[in-house]
Amino acid sequence: MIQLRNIERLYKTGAGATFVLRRINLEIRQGDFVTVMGPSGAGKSTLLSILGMLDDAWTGEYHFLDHAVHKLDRKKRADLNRQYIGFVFQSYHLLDNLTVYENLDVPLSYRNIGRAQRASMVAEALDRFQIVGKKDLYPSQLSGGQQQLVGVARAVVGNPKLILADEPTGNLHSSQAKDIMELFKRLNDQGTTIVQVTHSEVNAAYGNRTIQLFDGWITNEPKNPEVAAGKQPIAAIGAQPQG
Amino acid sequence: METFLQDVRYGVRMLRKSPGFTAVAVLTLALGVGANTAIFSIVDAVALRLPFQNPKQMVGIENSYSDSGLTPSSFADFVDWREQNHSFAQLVASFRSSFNFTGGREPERIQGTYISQDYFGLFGARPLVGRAFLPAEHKKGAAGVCLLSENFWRHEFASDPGVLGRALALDGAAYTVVGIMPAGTPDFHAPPYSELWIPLEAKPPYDAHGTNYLQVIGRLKPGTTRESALQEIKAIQERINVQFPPNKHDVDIQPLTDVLLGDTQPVLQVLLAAVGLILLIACANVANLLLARGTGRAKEFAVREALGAKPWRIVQQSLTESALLALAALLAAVLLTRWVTQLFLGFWPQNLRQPDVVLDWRVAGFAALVSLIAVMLFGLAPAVLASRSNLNLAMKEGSRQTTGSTSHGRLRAIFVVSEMALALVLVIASLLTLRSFNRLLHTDPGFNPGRLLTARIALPDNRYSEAAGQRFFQDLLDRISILPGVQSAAAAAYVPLGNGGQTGDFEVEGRFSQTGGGPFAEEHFVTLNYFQTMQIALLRGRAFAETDRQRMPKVVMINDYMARQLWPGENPIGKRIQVLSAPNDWSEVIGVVADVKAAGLNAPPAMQIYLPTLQHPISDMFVVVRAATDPETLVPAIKRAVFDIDSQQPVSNIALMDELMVRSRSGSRSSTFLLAIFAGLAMLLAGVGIYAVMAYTVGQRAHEIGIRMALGAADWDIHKMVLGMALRMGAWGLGIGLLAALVVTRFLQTLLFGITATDAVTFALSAVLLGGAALFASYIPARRATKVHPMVALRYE
Ligand SMILES: Nc1ncnc2c1ncn2[C@@H]1O[C@H](COP(=O)(O)OP(=O)(O)OP(=O)(O)O)[C@@H](O)[C@H]1O
Ligand SMILES: [Mg+2]
Repeated sequence: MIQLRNIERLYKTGAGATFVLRRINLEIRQGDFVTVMGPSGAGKSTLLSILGMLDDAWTGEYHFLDHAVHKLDRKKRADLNRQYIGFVFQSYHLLDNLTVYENLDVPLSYRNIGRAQRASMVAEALDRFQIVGKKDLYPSQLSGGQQQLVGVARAVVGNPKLILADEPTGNLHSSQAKDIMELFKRLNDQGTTIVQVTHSEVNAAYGNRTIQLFDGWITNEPKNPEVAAGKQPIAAIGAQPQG
Repeated sequence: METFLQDVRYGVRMLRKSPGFTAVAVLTLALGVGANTAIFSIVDAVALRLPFQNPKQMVGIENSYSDSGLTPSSFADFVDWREQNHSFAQLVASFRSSFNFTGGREPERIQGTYISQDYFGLFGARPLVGRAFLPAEHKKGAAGVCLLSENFWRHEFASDPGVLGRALALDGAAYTVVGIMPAGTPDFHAPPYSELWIPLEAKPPYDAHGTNYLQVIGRLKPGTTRESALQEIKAIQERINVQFPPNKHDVDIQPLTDVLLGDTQPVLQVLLAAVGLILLIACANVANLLLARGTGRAKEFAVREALGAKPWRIVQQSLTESALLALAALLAAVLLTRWVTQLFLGFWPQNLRQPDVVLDWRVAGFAALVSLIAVMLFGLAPAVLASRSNLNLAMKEGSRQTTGSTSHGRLRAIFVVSEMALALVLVIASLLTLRSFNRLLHTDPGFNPGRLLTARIALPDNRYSEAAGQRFFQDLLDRISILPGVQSAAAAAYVPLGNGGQTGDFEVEGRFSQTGGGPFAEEHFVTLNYFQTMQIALLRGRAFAETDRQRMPKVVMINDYMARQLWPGENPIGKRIQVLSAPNDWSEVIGVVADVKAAGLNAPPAMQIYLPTLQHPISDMFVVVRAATDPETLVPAIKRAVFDIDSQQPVSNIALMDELMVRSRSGSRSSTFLLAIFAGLAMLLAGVGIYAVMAYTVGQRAHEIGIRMALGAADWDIHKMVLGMALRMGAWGLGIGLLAALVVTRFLQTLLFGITATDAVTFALSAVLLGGAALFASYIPARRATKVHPMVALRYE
């Protein structure tokens, strides 16, 4: 589904430029449940935003399904994002002036789905995350954990083929975190590809594969992705979460 | 005092820190203040800055007839009013006329004014050289004397003091020069300016009751009110009416300023209202800018409050900054006013006295006053809101990157909505006048104005008998017709659009007549070839012929409108009417011609009677010449033809009919163009307002937009969102504006021609125009919104 070749990302800073991602080679197959781990500042969120086509300022090759993303313009990338991807932001990013219900409706409203169908999809998501009672509240009236729940719900409401989740359980009670992970697992079993960032070994265990990022480098994936293709899951190397 | 200075210092620093904001705010305000000041300076020059003492005591007296509104006064009435009243310290009359002046380089027709006794005394005007008229010189039959204008004295006599005591030949009679009046002597008649003055009473041009031609002005005695003076003059007029029932009429007294403003008054009122609206729009704009900035500074204010500042200190600080803005705007406006006034005067109607605009402390004072009002208008709301921004909220908002507080947002929306509404009123007003003017441009004057030359030849009565005058014009027209380049030539007592004319009542044979109140019609005395030369269409019957001469049956032609009014559905040919108050002298209607817009292109339809000069000789006529080529080239030949017959006879009022058409429209043209400029300005300001608010909103909501894009919003979705916000504000503004315009444009009706003040097409068109401008203004921020990168959503982590 996804092939990354020599992806590099650098931020221009005052003096010069610092690399956040270096020579990233990665293959993710349809149906994978990949966990990205690594210390704070390693580039995990950056990698996810590239996968999610939210970032454009990278170099290298990125193949998504049969699209050569590196050759696409902003608009085409946005189309792919809209069509296939659900994104859970590290800091939720709910829309302050919309209710929970409306927040869930936003991604659907951008996806050419009929009003009635949207209503039933939102209702289903509210139900699935047990937040029906909160549907008319504004984000400011929710706790941090509840906001995160809504953020996850918003990512999955449109039944995307690929879910990119940046620390989806960071603020959640462990039982809630478990619920989310179980949900991801179920979705994954039904064929949804998932890439999650987490600092939790427990969460990582739900995945079938873990990638370690350190200072912008992938430290455990073999240089040649073809080689790695056969032996999954790969055990974590030096997997002591930091930060 | 110290805190004030501190506020000023701080305010200056704040304004310098955001030069873009400051420039836009100052320029917007300067436009508002400048436009107001410019219009004020013109009103000041036209109506307020009168060149004499106590203008409040001065009034104009006019006749009022039940069916024809206000008219000037007759000499007979004036004399009675003057002799019998106790209300006026002085009561004077004047009549602008023109005279054949011979004895200069070439015979000339010059502007002169008949003035009654004490005329200049009333205005406190004194001769520069020589003396004023003596009371004896105002006695009936006194020897001719005259006063000259400084201008005429200079260019005709090279300012030679020796001209005093010399006799000038005016219309063939001798008038001894007794003095020179300085430039700037009060002259309340339409341009051109008077070159000389002669006593009215010595030889009034007309003295019959009912011949109304005098402008009567009086100065009320101290303690007398306008109302009591009116009652007294009314009482005097009642007595006159008993003696002369055919000319029964009422009188009216108005402040002199109203009399002088005349037709200009509604125009100036509309323009004043327009610039008032502009100022409001400008204030709303600046208030909006301040609010937007205020939101950004909510934290600063909150910190100040946390440090112990009382709320009123923050209001004071805020107002100080507003006042600084207004001060800068005032300075810019002073520079602008000069230029705007120049622009206005460039559009000044040609048929009105050009006001003598002086930009002095009064005008500057007015500008300062307007600026002060502006500060109150735009400075207060943001200041009060700033004082209310509470610490907690501001800190929280600052940290959470939400959109500005909702109260600010709502207030901004209200300002934009009112801006749109005000702008729409102006746009509608302007579009109404534009469309009315367009109708005026395309009005059919009833004749063909192309390549038509007119010139006035006024034969003085004392040198020409009726028969001699008739021979003169016969001879002249014969000579002109055979000039190369002339297609056809004729003459008439007055030409259409030539600012002159005569009306009179008439009676229809077999119909009951009421004395003094009969219908009025324009009376046009014309020579044989007139209709052919003017190319006025003959609709029925025949035109005048050689055989319609004196001692033959009297004949008249009438216009279509009159035919329809008097004989609807009947054939008017062969009917008889009685004209010129000649009892038992019936004239037969022999032809009907098309309506001619004689009194002005926007004049309402009028009954018109044409009388042949063969039966009613006239010694003061305009020749009209239809040229085959450029009519201007004919002028020397026509002058020569006149001088060949009579070397003492001047040719005056030489004009192309095309020019007269332009002049006739020039009043409407001025108001139309000025309103269009103001409406354009209003649209620009409203557009800037919408743009500023939308740009600000987009900036504030960049984060939200980024999230939406990350969630899959396409460019179009973002466009829709931003334009939708603008459209909602716009729709409110347009709705309110339409309602307001329905009420307001009614005051415009007097300036409109051929279009009602609530014309639906104009309203719709204006709304579309302004709506389009608003949409365009918000399109740029909307486009910028789509350039927000989804990454900004992630950056806030
Ligand atoms: N806008 C930016 N400008 C400059 N440097 C940036 C920017 N955004 C991120 N970085 C840098 O890129 C590096 C990687 O950031 P990223 O957010 O991908 O880390 P992360 O692995 O997600 O960390 P965390 O676990 O704390 O979320 C960091 O060192 C960060 O300082
Ligand atoms: Mg991160």
